[in-house]
Amino acid sequence: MEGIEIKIESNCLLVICRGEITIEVTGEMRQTVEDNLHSQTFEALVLDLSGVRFMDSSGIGSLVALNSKIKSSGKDFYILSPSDQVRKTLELVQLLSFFHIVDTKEELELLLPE
Amino acid sequence: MPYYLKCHFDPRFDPARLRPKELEDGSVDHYDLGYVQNVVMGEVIAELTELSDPDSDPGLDRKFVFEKKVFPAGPNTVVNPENDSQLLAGANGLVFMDAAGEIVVNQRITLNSDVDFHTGNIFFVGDLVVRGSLRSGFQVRAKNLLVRDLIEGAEVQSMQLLSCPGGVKGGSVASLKAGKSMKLGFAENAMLNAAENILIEKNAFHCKVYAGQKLAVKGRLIGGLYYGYQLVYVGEQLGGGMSAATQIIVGFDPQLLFEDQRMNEQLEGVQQRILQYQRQLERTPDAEEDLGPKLAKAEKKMTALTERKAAIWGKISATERLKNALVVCPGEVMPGVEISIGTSYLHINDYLKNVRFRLKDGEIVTESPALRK
Repeated sequence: MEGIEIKIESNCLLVICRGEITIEVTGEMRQTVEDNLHSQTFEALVLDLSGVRFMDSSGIGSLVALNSKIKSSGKDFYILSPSDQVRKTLELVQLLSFFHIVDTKEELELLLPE
Repeated sequence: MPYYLKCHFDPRFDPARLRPKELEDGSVDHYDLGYVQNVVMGEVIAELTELSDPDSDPGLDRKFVFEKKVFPAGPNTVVNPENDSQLLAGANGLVFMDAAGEIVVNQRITLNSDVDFHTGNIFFVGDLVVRGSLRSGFQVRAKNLLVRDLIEGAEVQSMQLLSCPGGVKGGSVASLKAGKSMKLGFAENAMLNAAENILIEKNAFHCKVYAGQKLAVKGRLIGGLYYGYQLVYVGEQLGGGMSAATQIIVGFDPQLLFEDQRMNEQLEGVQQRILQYQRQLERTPDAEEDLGPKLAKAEKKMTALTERKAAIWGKISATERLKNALVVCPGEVMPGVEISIGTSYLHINDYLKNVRFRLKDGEIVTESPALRK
């Protein structure tokens, strides 16, 4: 993966991923996100996947685990602007509807608390 | 050359011995017990790595040391054709190591108890059967979901089918969503939303229901708001006198109406906040620096919500299906029921029996018998 950037915006933890999400990087990605889960206060986690060119099954597995963890703690989990490649991969494994996918930042702002 | 099996899941995981996760601050989360180890088709679930000297590490669990490069591969697992050191999940499901030491992916889980503090919330990428009930306050998400007993005030979502012969007692907080259809024994005080059809075997009382295609209630439908795109069918009794407001709306896309309803709730919240900021500013003008940006943000959100609502209504009008929209009741229709087909509205003033309602020349007409060949 080319990079992972974490910001707090509008009471949500925004995680911006770039490049490829594959088995080689999922461990690091999950660790980075989980470290922030405990140290930050937020009401929703947003995973911006607009810059992700490729994601393998291990990457999807990480999203499933993260989604379950966040939802279980009573917070919201959104995937923002997934690239066509990511969308196709999620569709292929029939998990597109497992996630709350938001197409644009404007749409996301309507969902987030002020 | 011996090989060591490295699992990308917890091979000692035992769903019978779940413990709440302890957080960094020492508190525990009773809703997150990690009941399911999800895996996705194609995901690497285990790897075999060469061990030069297995005796050099006394802490090595011999259970995971193999003399040959052969995985203990069980159902729904497959060796990676591009890398024979990796074992992949052959399907979406739950991964575990069985008593015989085989790695198995189950596409279906059967839970013999309730979903409660013993299981925590369950998010599963496969099919889930719950032989007990879904208790209030818990969340469940699965591909297909069957709940044998009761659904209480839980948040439930299936990607495809949702079935609960035991019925729903929602306590005005239950939320059930299905990506395809939903079939329930009965439903009380719950929000139901299915992209396709909803079938309720007995009665529906005081619910808010969004059926993407057809809604059928075989027994009595009393109190609440019911949207069906093409058809609402009520077998025995529609409405329950003047005290229980019962509204039926057909012809508009219920999913868009659901979205509109969500916008309304958000708008209401934003409007209240704007009013609150304005009042505070009137009382304490010095708070401008703090409240000004908040007010501006809330006003911006209100504008965006209003625009979004207008766009939704544009879609609702463009996708209306009024010609074949029907409300059918072979049983009794009580006075007080309100029926809308598109923008046409009918308030039932008289007791009716064995009737159907449809749109004719822009008005709702009542016809009998309800069912025709």
